[in-house]
Amino acid sequence: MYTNVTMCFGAAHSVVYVALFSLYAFILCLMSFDLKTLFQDQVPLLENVTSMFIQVMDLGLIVPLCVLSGILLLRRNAWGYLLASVGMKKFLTMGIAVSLMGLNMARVGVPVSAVELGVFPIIALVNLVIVGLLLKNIKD
Amino acid sequence: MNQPKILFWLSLLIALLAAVYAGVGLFSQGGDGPFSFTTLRGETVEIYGWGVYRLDTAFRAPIFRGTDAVTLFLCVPALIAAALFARRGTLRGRLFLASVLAYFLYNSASLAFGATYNSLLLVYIASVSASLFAFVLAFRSIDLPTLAAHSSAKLPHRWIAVFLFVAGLSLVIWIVDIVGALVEGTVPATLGPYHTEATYTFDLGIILPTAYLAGILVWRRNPLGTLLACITITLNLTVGLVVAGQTIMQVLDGILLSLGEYAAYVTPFVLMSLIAIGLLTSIFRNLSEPTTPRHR
Repeated sequence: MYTNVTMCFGAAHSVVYVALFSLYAFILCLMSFDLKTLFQDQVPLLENVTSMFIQVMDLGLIVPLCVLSGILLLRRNAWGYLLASVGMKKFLTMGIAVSLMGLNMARVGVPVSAVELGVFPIIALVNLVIVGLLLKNIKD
Repeated sequence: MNQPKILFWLSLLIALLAAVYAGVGLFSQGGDGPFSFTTLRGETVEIYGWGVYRLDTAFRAPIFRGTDAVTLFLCVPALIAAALFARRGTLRGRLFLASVLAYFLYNSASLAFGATYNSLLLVYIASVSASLFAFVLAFRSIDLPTLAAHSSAKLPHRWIAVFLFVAGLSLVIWIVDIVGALVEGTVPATLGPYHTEATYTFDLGIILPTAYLAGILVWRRNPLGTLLACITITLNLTVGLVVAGQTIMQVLDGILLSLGEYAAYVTPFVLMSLIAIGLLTSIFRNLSEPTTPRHR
């Protein structure tokens, strides 16, 4: 992430960074899914819900959208700019929302890992920079 | 790889994924059989206890299995046929493919969001994703000016519009369920242990407004209306088949509804499905093919 933030400061490289960001999005989405439970006939932590709707949306929509927008952006396809813009703003709002969610969970005494408390604010900040660069480089 | 090729291979992938989840859903066995379960809301419900849907309710598991039967034996072959027709680049073929893909998007999303977590979740997710992107590609492959130019003046626009308005209205039954529960301070009767009802969201949030939008546009002879109408009416046709399959499976599993419930939840969907067959035939008969089929 650090390397790509550095790359962002050149307009041409910011496109490459956004494309690479899809890789981070992919990894983050997979992190939310404990694959071994599927193969050991166990049930992941579902608490009181009956299905894993967040994982359905993340893996079924967000991951392919990120990969697709990354590929199209690297090819300088117009759809890539549109989809990347949507994806980046989604990750910006998600980063802020999950950061605040983590802080609120910590405030009320729910166990939250330090990784979660650190990763999502970084995602929000990086996205803020990228969204700023993206909008700055779009001419009316 | 160009878009028609991607669409073709995505359609075959969806057919394969659907055959897997519907086949496993329909034929899987094992489990300890039915048992009672007290929900968070204090209700006692009977859990199915068998196969991949063993943690779904005894009411809902036969619904899933009935849907799986229709998916496996009717819709998967229809998708393969649609993909082959669309590959020729014909307008009718692409319209048929977009319509059939809408069913797979609806069906796999209903399972991914609605069925109790089971070992097929990744297959559902893959199918939702492939169906969504394939549907967008198929939808975009239809050129609206071409569709307008090759729609006959004999197309029964107003009958199609009226059908769509009535089909949309039939979904209001879900509002009755929700408002009734809100007024009584309870939850909808069939919610059971589920955290929410995905069908309410899909039907009221997407299908109902699409049916009315399609109806208004087709009344105005807008080609987008013809496209949306074809998709919505095909979905309506498959929903009728699915409801019939679900009812048969429920009866086989000993779940009998009251006559009033059959009249409210089964009969309208089956009747609408029969009318949908006639309207779809009319739409396809009143479309002519461009002289040189084109891909976009």
